Amino acid sequence: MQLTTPEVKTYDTVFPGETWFLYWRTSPSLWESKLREYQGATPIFIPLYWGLHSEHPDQFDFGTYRPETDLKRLYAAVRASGKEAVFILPLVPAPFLPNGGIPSYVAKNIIISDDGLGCSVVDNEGRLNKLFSFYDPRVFQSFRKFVWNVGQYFSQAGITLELYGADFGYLDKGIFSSYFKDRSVAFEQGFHRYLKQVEENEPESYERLKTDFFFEEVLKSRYADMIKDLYFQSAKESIPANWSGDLKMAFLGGCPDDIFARSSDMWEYHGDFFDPLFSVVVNNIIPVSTLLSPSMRKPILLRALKDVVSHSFLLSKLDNSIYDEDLQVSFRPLVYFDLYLKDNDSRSSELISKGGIKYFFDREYHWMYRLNFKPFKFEGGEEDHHKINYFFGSLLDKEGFNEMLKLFLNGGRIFLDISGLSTDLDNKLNVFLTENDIAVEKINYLTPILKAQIGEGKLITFDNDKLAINNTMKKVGFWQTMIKYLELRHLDLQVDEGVYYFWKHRVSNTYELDYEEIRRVSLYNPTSYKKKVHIVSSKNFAFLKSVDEQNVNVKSTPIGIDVELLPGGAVSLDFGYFE
Amino acid sequence: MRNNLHLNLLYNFVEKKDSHENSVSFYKVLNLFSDVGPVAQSTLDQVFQKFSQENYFEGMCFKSLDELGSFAVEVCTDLSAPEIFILSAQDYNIGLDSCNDVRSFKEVFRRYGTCVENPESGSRKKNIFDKFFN
Repeated sequence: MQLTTPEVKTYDTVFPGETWFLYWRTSPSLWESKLREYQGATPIFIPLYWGLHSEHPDQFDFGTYRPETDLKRLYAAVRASGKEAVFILPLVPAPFLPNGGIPSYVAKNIIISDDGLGCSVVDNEGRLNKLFSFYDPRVFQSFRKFVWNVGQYFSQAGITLELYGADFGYLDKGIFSSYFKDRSVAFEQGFHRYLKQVEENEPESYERLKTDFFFEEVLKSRYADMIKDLYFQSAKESIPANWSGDLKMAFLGGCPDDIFARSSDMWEYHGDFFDPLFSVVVNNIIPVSTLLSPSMRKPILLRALKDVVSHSFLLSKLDNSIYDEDLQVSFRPLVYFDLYLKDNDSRSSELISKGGIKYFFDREYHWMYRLNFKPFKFEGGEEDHHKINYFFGSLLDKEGFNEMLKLFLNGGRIFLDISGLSTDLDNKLNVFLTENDIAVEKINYLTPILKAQIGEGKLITFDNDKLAINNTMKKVGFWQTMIKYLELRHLDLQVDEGVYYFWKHRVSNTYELDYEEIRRVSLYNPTSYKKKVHIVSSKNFAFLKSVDEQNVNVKSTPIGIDVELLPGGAVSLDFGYFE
Repeated sequence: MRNNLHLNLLYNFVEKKDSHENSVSFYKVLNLFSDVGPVAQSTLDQVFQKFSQENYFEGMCFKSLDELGSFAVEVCTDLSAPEIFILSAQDYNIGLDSCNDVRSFKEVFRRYGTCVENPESGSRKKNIFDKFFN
């Protein structure tokens, strides 16, 4: 059985990527027709361009002087088009706008990276957008005035469209980094003022600075979070009627280091955007492709974007509970592993690398693991039976440790790295196991391992430091054995180099009651060569159908599925999973 | 990597405290690339081995600009690149300030960097085909 979908529409500068509608790029008289013609996923994202609405200090234009700033008219066009749309208010520099979206009269201090480089991003038309520091007090004061005026205007004009604050960023070595991050003079001056406050209010922290060199970075993170929160709160309080929450969005090609590749036609390659795209999606962040030039927007990349940035994906990010039923029957990314780390903690990156966990996942479960930077909180409910959770003792406090134990008692499957676990928590773990009369098994395999089980719950402790001294292949072997022990049900994929794949799953519907759930793997070949993929048969999976075949040959054999992908080929394969 | 393309090296001057709380300063290579992409890590590692550094920090660090320059020339020679443009982060930021698009950005290394020619490229014997193909 084969299904097909309509061709992806050609490039339109007003809709430069996915659902983004840049209203200032066309005449207001065309807004309604443009919105009507739009056929992609909804809701449509309409970013508010601060610099457009405020060209001079203390002067705000919402249609008084220039028609393209008339948000009331835009709102009317949205309603008339019948399309679902939301406003996006950038709370950090916006890389697709000149000066990062801020008015030129406050664009004074360019953002500086940890390496001392100015932050500039190439947009879809080859322009260099320099991003300016949000730590400059003048920027914050102007921002407050702007959002207050937006709030007043929305209220007077009767604009009821939902508004989301946006934290824009990019993936840096697989980890989300916000454009708010900065080491410019403006940041350093602000931090200096903050340190004076710390000296007065927390003398013990100030003293620690003198002895603990790394503590300065901790305080810098704290200061950055505090200032970021000021922007969030200011927007939320100024536009309360429309405020619906905040969103994290990552720009493909938006990493400041990408400027070198993206300024050379011989270097930039559309295949390089698949990895960040899938990594962003599994990490619950909305990917944005508005920075990519038309030459990079190859049909194969657009197809991948369309496959992952779907209506249900966007709704799930908007956190709207009325859509829950829709979400149940829609495909969502299949994530097996949740790793709990700590935001702005430089140890996080080292912890997932030294024991070979990241290498193993990238090799065998690519784009199926999620890095969580918010503290873990057990929220009850039925535990996802696929999920395996990783905790790192050195990052756990007492509260986090208790939440982890709750998860274990409720059937969670957990790996706990005990290197760096405090003596208190180590004792607590031992007491917990003894008091609850939980049988434990201790073995030695590259590292001391303790296995504990209660009902469906499994807890395995290991020592990341001891694992780290082994060679890469031994570490891979270790994790293979551990995952096998947990009986993870997964289809083995053998793919040629250069082919990208992405797994999704959904619950089975009334016609698919033989299966517990449906899994879909989408395969993409962005290269100019013919590539092969083999999916090994497994007793818990039944091949159902191929969807949206494009330059591919799919052959089902007793030992598995053979897929031949011609250049630019793509296909999605559905499997029914049963116990 | 094609060997007829020039290279660009971007570095930064770093002052830090080491694990013994002593202040140290060095020049750190941030990026080394040509128009077709970054220089392969294996090439960089191979050349870097020749420079005996007390390298406390991650990445390629040099005690002096002379050493950094020698490293750049070695890479250039190894890849048979005609020249290498060496640019500091400070000069990069000055150059960036004057850029508005990709075209002007591509000139930053040439305009603001220090050009070091590959000493071996000048001595190469020329033949009639060089006139057409180089």
